[in-house]
Amino acid sequence: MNTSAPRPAACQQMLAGIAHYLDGELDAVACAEVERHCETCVSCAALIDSLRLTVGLCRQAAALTLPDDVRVRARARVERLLGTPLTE
Amino acid sequence: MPAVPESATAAASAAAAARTKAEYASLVTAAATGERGAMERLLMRAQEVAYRFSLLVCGHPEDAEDVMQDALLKTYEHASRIADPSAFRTWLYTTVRNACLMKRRRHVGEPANFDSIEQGNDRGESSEGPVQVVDRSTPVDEQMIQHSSDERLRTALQSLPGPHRMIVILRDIEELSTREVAEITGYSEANVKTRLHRARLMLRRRLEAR
Repeated sequence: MNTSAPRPAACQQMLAGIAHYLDGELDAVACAEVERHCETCVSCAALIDSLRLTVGLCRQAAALTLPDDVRVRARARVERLLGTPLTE
Repeated sequence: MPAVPESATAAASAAAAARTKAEYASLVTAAATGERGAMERLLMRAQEVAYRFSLLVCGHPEDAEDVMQDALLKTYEHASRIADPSAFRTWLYTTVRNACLMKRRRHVGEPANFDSIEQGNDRGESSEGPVQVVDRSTPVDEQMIQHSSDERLRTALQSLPGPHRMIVILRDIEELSTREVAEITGYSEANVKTRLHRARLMLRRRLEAR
C-alpha cells in the first residue's frame, strides 16, 4: 500500500479486504497493510470506523432480554411443561 | 486505526462465541441426563433466543410469543434425544428460523416496503416492522438511551432486504460463526460473507442517515 495520498485503486484493493479485516480473517501482514493505508486515507479509515461501530451496535443488541410481562409468561409455560414451579 | 488490533478484537469475539456454544452443549447434556435446573435454564434460553430473533427478523410481538412456544416444545423434545449437544445451537436457530417462516407465510397483506426473506434464498423465509425489548438489568435513564439506539438499530434492520437482515442478525447480533450461519440459512459460506459485508454497508448507511 502507498504511504502518501492513496489513490482510488489502492482504496478499492483495500476495501475488498475490509470484511475479512473486521472479522479478523486477515493475517498480520495484510492487517498491517490495511492499517498503514488508513493512516493516510481518511475516507477508508472513516469507513472502517463506522463499520466497526455498526457491528458494535449489533453486538449490544444481543444483550437484550425479555420484557417483564413476556418473561412471566415464558416462565409459566416452562412450569406447565415440566409440571412443577421453577426452581430458579 | 484501533488501539486494540482488529485481529485481537475478532479473536475475542470468536472466543466468546465458542464459549456460548460450549455453554449450550453443557446445558443440553445436563438437561438430557435429567438435571432439572439445566432443563429450566435451557428452556428459558431457547425462548429468549426465539423471542429476540423473531422480533428482529419478523417484527411481530404476537408472532414472537408463538415462536417462543414452538421453540419451547421442540427444545424439550429435542434435548432428551440429541445425539450431538454441540450442534444444539445451530439446531435451535434453524428451528426458530423455520417457525418464523411458517408464521410469515400465514400473514397476508405484507407491506410493500418489506423484502421477503425468501428473496435470493435457497430455502425461503420472511420479514417485518420494529419492536421493543427492554433490558431489565439497566437503570431507567440508561434504558432510555439504550432504547433510542436499539430502536434505531431495529428500524435500520427492518429496511434491509430479508436475506441480508437474517445474515447480519445471525452473525453480528447472535454471533454465530460463518459456517453456522451457512448451515442455518442454506447459503454457502462465501455467499454468507458477501451478503454480510453488503448488509453491514447498508446498515451503516441506514444508521448514518437517521
